[in-house]
Amino acid sequence: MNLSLVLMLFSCQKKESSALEKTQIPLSYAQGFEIFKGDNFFEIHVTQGYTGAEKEYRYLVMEKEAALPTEGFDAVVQLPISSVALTSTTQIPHLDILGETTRLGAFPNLDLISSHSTRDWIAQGKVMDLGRGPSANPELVIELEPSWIMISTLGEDLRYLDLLSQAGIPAVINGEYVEQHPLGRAEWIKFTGILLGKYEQAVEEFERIELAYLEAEKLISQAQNLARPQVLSGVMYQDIWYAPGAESWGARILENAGGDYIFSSQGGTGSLQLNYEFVLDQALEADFWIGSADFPDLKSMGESEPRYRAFSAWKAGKVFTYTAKTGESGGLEYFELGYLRPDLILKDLIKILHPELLPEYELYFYQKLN
Amino acid sequence: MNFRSFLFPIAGFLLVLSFLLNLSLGSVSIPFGEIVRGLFTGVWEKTSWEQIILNYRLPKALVAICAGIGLSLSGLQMQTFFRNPLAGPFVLGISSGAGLGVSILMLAGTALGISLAGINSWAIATAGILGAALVLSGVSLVAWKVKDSMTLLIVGLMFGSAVSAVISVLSYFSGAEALKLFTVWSMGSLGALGWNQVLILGVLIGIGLVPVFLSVKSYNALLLGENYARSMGVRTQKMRWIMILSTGTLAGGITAFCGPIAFIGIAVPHIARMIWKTSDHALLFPGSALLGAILLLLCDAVGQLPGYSSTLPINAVTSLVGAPIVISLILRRNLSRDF
Repeated sequence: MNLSLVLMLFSCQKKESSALEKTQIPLSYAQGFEIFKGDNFFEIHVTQGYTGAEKEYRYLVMEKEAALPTEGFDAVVQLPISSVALTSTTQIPHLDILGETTRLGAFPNLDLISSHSTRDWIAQGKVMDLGRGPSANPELVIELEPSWIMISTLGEDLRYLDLLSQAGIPAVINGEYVEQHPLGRAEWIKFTGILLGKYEQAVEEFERIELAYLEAEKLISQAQNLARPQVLSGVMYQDIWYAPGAESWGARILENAGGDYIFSSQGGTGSLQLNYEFVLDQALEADFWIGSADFPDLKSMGESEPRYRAFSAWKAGKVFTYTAKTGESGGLEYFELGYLRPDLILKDLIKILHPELLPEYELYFYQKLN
Repeated sequence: MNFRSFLFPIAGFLLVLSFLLNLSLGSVSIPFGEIVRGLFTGVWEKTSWEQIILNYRLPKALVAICAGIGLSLSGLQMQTFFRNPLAGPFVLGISSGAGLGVSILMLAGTALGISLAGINSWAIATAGILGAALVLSGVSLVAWKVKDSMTLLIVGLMFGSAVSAVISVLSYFSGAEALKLFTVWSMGSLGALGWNQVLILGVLIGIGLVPVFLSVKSYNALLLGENYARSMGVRTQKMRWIMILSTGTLAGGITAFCGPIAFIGIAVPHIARMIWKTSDHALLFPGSALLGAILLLLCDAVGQLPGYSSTLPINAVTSLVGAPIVISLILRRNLSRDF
């Protein structure tokens, strides 16, 4: 009798949380989260918080002065927010683009941040450094009491989430890195937008990026008789060659930019580990080498690994790296802004592979090694 | 010519055979005839084949031979000196030392903001040699103080554990990419070296081998115990230095250039003892050297996974292929008889 009562109560609660009246707002590219709009709230379901995630995370974002039942949610955010904690540099541009840079209250290892506006904010001493360990120091986060903390996880430190939610700090998972469509990663700006109470503006910014991306892509898809140059990518450590898999984000942008990725037969969304012999056999004559490690010039690249010198791309000096913009404390802007601005990456690659299509454009992330 | 010395030409022939086999197997299939023609005439059908053979497979095969010889001989010396069948080239903490050097370079490097691009095989080898030398000098200081070889063995193991702890701390604080690099390094690799480095490794092995062949008789006497050896006129304290320097140069050099390579150092001396059915070091030293080289060449050929685009780490192969062989050999005899 008692048991059935408890069960009934439990099922009632469950029902209540999802019974709030709401409509789903479809997303164009992202597959890792869903958003729902209600009267004075947003509901976000993160379905792929990390690679292989089985649990769906549900977050409730309530507008000012809304009072709703909060049972059944993994995190509840009450707007307006005061300050937030971020854990990945890819989340920094989200604040910048929405004009909320000064909301940043804490971040692990501040040196990694490159964005100028955020660096100014850090210079004012307004951002707490959460340490350099594998996950942001939980004591400091609890002490700071941010309105929410955005976590980027590989799924190994979920206990950390529990710890924070027990302390009453809404911890939300940002799974943008799981997305493999270039615009899918950028669409996570909507996720951050809702959490900041700036959804409409986030949609506007995303549509601007989307338009720029699609227009650049059109240059390639509509070009007549376009020759697709062969592109090699990656670096060698010891005798193993590391390169992006053919279905990965990076490889897709490369194909969209009118390149013929040399490892396109090697599937996978992650990083490939290839044998030096195999790479040499496939890529000796490749026209371009895009995305080698951050060497300052061709000479030091050849000195560091003499076997690089065998490749035609190296001999012809057609080696490009994404190191054109380095933050003042050593971070690479490509790793920070790249997720949000695939349009810039795409245009960079088009400029490299087919300069005649973008005569006016100047490279943003990439630079040619001399 | 008795049967034991008769085994040497056979082993020599097998060495040549496995060398050729190693050269002809890899991810890219190159006809054997083409390899021979290319090597002797310098004319290659494809430039990529020339690159693969001359700048990858050939140095890799030579490194396999050097490492095979060096590791088995340092293992044999350690086993005899400590009269312990479980001893191997790394019991004195040499591989942990080299690992420490490399981990400081890779892991602390990224924590301090040094780019991973600066990490090439020269830097790795230098860091490895410095780390191995550091631990080796620590162990030598102890060796100078203590008289008992068992104490030295335990101290060596403790040095290794302490150094591994430092590596764990560094790993804990380092980024995913650096961690991955270090993990890959710790699985060993024979193919990372260019010709200059192969030359240096060869010279190091040559230097490390000299004391081995000069002290064959002393090692034989040591088998009967330190006291007996002393009564035979062997200066055990001097032997200890010879052993530390020789194994340090051999195992330290190899670990610095190729990463820690498991199994060979412990197992090959046992296999040699069983094949040659002797504990005479005049036969065991050359026998272990030949066997070590053959085994590592074969393991590397397997690890290349001919026909596939990936490679298995050499450590995985040496242990996977080797462990069952050794277990089956060892089960047939009583090890304590030898020590």
